[in-house]
Amino acid sequence: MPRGKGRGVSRRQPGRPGRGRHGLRTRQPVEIPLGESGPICYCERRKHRVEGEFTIALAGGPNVGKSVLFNAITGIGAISSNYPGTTVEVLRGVSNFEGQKLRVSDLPGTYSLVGTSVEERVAIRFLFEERPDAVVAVVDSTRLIRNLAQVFQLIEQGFNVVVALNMIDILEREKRTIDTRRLSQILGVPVIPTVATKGKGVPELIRACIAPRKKNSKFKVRYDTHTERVIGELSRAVEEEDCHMQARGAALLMLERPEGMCHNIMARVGTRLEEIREEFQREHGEDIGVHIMRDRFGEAGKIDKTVEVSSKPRPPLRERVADITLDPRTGIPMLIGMLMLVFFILLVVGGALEGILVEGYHAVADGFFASVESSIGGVAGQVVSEGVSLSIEAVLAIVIPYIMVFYILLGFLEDSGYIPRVVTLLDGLMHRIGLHGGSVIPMLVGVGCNVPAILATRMLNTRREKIITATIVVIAIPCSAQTAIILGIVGAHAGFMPALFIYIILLSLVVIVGLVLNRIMPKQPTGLIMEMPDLRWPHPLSVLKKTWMRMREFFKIAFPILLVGSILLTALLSLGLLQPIIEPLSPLTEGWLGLPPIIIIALIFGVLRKEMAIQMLIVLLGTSALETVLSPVQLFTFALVMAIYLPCLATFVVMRKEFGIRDTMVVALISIAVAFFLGGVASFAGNIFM
Amino acid sequence: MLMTSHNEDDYLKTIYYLTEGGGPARTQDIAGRLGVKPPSVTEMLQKLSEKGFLEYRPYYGARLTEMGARRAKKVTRKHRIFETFMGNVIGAPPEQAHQQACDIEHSLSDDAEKALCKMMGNPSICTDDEQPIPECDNDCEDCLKQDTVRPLTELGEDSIAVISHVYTADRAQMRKLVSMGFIPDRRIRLIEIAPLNGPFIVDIGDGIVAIGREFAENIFVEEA
Repeated sequence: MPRGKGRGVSRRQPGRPGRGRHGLRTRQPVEIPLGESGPICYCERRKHRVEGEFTIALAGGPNVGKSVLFNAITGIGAISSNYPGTTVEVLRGVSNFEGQKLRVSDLPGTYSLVGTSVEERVAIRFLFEERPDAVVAVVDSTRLIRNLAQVFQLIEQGFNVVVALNMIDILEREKRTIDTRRLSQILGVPVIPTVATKGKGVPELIRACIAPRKKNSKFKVRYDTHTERVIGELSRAVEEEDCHMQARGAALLMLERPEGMCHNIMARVGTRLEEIREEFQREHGEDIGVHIMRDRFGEAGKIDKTVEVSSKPRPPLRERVADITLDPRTGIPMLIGMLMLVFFILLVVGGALEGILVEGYHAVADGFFASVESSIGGVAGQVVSEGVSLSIEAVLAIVIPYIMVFYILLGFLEDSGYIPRVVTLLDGLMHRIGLHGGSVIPMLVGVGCNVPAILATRMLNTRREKIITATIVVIAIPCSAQTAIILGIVGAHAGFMPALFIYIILLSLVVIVGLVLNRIMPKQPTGLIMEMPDLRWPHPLSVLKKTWMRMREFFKIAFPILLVGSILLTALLSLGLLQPIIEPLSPLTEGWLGLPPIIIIALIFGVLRKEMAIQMLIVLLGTSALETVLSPVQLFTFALVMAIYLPCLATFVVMRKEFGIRDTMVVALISIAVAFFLGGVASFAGNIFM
Repeated sequence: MLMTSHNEDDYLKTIYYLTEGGGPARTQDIAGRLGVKPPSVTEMLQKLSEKGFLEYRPYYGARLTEMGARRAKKVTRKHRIFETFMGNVIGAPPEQAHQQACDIEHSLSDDAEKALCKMMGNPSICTDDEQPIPECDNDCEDCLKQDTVRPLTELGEDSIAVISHVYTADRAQMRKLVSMGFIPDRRIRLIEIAPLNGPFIVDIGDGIVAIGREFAENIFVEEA
C-alpha cells in the first residue's frame, strides 16, 4: 500500500508507558496530522498493542460531557470544553482500574463519523488505525435522537461499543426517564447511565467495557429496499477483498463517504459505486448518503419513542423560553458586560495577587539569590542569579496573577456553555472582516496570553482564517503583560483616559487589520454551524482541573523561553552590549517617537520579556516616578508601541511552529511597522494638541 | 402544439444554438453539429418549414419561427437543467452529464423540469460550457409563490415550519447539515437572526443550532 509523503501518515510521539507512583499520568496531547487529498486506507492497522493494556476510546458530540468523562476515568486529564474543537487532537490518558491497566483516548467531538470536517476526519482515522478494544459512545441522554445516529454508525462498523448515557441527572430534573435495559436490548450493547460531572456510573462503565463480549451486537438499522440491495452488493465485494473491515460497515462507509475509502476496495468497486450513487439519486432525488442518515434519524426516533418516557410533556417548539443570551437586544449588552467583568476581575484580583506574591517573593528570595551571585562570582554570577530570579518573578508577577486567573475565568465561561453564544453573536461582525465566528475565541484567549491564543487558531478551518486571526491577535489584542504595561505606565502615571484611549485604538485595529487582510486575501470564510448547549452552572472542580492542565501546558512552552530571555537580558545589560545601538537608533526613538534615546533598550527587551517593560523603564530612567521624567504623551507613545509591536518570544516560537518561519516573520514585520507608525503619529499629534 | 420527434427536436435545438448569435443557421453547420450529411439536413429543414417551425431559404440558412424558437428553447432548457443537475448534484463528469441530458431532454416532463429547477434554486447558467439556461415560460415569481416551499432565509422570525428538503451542490455541506439533524419532515422554528447579517438561530426540536446564511439558504421549509 503506497504510503509516504502526501498521505498524511499518523505519527505518534514516542511515549513512555505510565510509570510512576500513581499510574495516573496524562501524556501530551498527540496531534494526528491529516491526510491531504488522497483517501486514507482504513486497512492499515497499527500493531502497537501493548500486552495487558486495555484501550478505550471515547466518541460523541462536542457537548455531551465526553471530556468530563475522560477526566473522571483518568484522574487529572483532559480539558472539558463546550465549544467544538478547542484543539483538534486526541487526548490520551492512562489509568488503573481494579488491577487492569487502561489506555483511554478522548476523540474530538463529532456528530457523525463520515463528515469532512477536521474533527470527523481525525476521529474516524483514529478509530480505524488504532482499533481500540472498546469504544464508549457518550450520549447526551436529553438529546437521544440526535446522539443515536453516531452510535448506530459505531455498531455498524463493528466496534465493541458501550453506550454511556450521560447527563442522566439533567434528564431526571426534566422529569424524563429512559429505559436503559430496553435500550440495551434493542442496541445489543451495554448501556450505562452516567453523570460524568459527579463520577457516577464510571466504575460500571469501565467494567462493562472490560467485560469479555459474548457475541457482537446484532443490531442493524433497516434501510429501505433499494439501499439494502446496494449495501448487499457492495458488502459482497468487500468480503471478496478480504479487508480488515466489517463488510456491511465498509459498504455503508463507501456510500456515505467514498473519498475516504481504502484504495484496494475502491480499485475494485470504484466505478460501480459511482453508478450506484447516480442511480439512487435519479430514482429518489436524493444523495444516498443523506438518505442513509435520514433513515438513521428515523430509526433513532422510533427507538426514542420506545425507551423514553416523560411524565411532563415537552413544551412545543413555540413555547420554549427565549434565550436571553442569544437575543441581540439582551445578548449584546450581556456580552459587553461579561467582557468588562472579565477585565475587572483580572485587574482587581490579578493586581492584588501580584502585589502579595511579588512582595512575598522578594522578602524570601532576595537573600538567597544574593548568595548565589556571590558564590559564582563575577558577571556570570550576576547573570545567572538575576536571570533565574527574574524569570521566577515573572511567574509570580504575571503568570499566576493574570494568566492563571484568566484561565479560571475562561474555564467558567466555557463550562457554562456561554462561548457558543458569543461566537454566534459576533459571527456577523467577523464575517465583515472575512472571518468565521470561531475566530472570536483565539481573540478572547489572547486577552490572557498570546501563546494559547495562537494554539487556539488550530480549531479554525482554513489556513487563511488561522493566519488572519493570529495576526489580529498579535497586533491588536493586548495580552496580560501588555495590559499591565498600559495600565501600569499610562494608567498610573498619565491618567485613566489616555489608557482607555489606547484600548479604543487597539479595538479599532482589530477591525482595521481584519479589513485590510481580508482585502489582501479575499475569500469567503467557512460557514458557521454550531450547536448551542444548554446553559448550566460550571463545576468548580472541573474548571480547576482544566486550569491546571492549561497552566502545565503553558509552563512547558513558556518557561524555558522566559528563562532564556531573562538570562540573555541580564547578560546584555551587565555587559553593556546594548549601549552602542542607542546612538544610531536615536533618530527613530527620539526623532520619530519623541522618546529619550535610551528607551530603545526597553523596546528591545520587550521582545524577550514584555512584562518587564515597566521595571526596565524604572531602571533606565532611574526613578519609579515615571511622570517626572516622561511627559504623558511620551508615556502614551511608549505603551502604544509596546502594545502593538512584535509578539513576545514565546508567541514567536509558537507561531513559527504553527505557520512556518516565513509567515511568522511577515507578521512580526507588519507589527513593527504598524507599531512604530502609530507611535510616531501619536507622538506628533499628542505634542500638537497638548 | 405539433408533436415533434426526437430527431426534429435535435434539429431545432441545434438551430437555436447556432442562431443564438443572430445570424441564420447554415446547412453545413447544422450538418456538422449533428453529424449528418447536408442533403439530409436540407430534407429535414424543408419538413420543419412546412410544419411551421422555421423559415428556410436555400443557400441562406434557417431561422426559427416563434413556434420553433419556443420549442427549441424548451428542449434546450430541459437539456441544460438536467445537465446542470447531473453535474452539480450527482457530480457526474461532463461528457456523461451531456449524454444523459441529450437522451432525457425529449422526455423530461414539464413538472419534473420545474421541480429540478426549484430544487436547484432556479439556476441560470448550465455547468457545461457555462451556457445560459433559457428562461422558463412561467414566471419565476409565480412559481415560487405557488409553492409554499421556500428557503429558511425567507422565513419570518419566530415562525414554525417543517423541513421539506435540504439541497446544496456542496456534498460536504449537505452531510454536515444532515448530521446536525436538518432532515426532511422535522419541525423547525426560526428563533431569530444574529446581528449584522449573522447566523440564523433555529430550534430543531432537540436543541438550538446557529447556522450561517450560506447554510440556511439551502434548507427548504414549508410553513406549518
